Amino acid sequence: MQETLDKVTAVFRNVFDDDSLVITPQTTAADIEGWDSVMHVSLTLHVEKTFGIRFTATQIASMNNVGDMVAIIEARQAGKR
Amino acid sequence: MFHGKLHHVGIIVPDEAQLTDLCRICGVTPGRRQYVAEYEADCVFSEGAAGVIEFIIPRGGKLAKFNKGFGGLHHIAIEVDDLNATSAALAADGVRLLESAPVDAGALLINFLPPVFSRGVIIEYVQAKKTHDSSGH
Repeated sequence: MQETLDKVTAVFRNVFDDDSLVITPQTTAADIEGWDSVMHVSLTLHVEKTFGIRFTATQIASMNNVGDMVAIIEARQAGKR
Repeated sequence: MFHGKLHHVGIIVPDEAQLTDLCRICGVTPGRRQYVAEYEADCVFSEGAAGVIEFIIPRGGKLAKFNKGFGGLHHIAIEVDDLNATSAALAADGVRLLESAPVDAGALLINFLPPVFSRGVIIEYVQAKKTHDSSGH
């Protein structure tokens, strides 16, 4: 969980160009200024590229916070192996 | 599945001056204007039956922040026969539209696809209201 969260945090810091961002499993769009629908696209694409996966529409719709995203990433990676 | 066809292209302009400039550049004439309270924006449709451009002039809200307030190409609109049926068809594929119910925008009912589902393209679904006069869009 922590390893994936660390990688996701790095993606967030890159996309928002802010090295001070602190990301937790509870983090939502309401917690980060500028996290709008356009930035959400960028975040999703960068996360997919970083982890070598492509989220399904159902998975995208089910993400309510960063913890949900991390759980889906780890489930997808477990399924790969 | 549903059948869609291109209805218009939506461009956000920050002010009336930019609207005038873009109309001149595109060689189109501004036509019908409507305020959509849901999105705090004036919408001006270029005249003509096909290849319509919608110029969106936000008065506030989220649209005013699009592209850091500078505006730009915002969405493509796809016309469908039945917006609720389209929403249901998309939901069956796991895709959730922005609004829980279609928004009343004058002659149209509209809803939006959050761009994350298309990986970057904002798509507006529109359904023409059924009226005796079908000349408007």
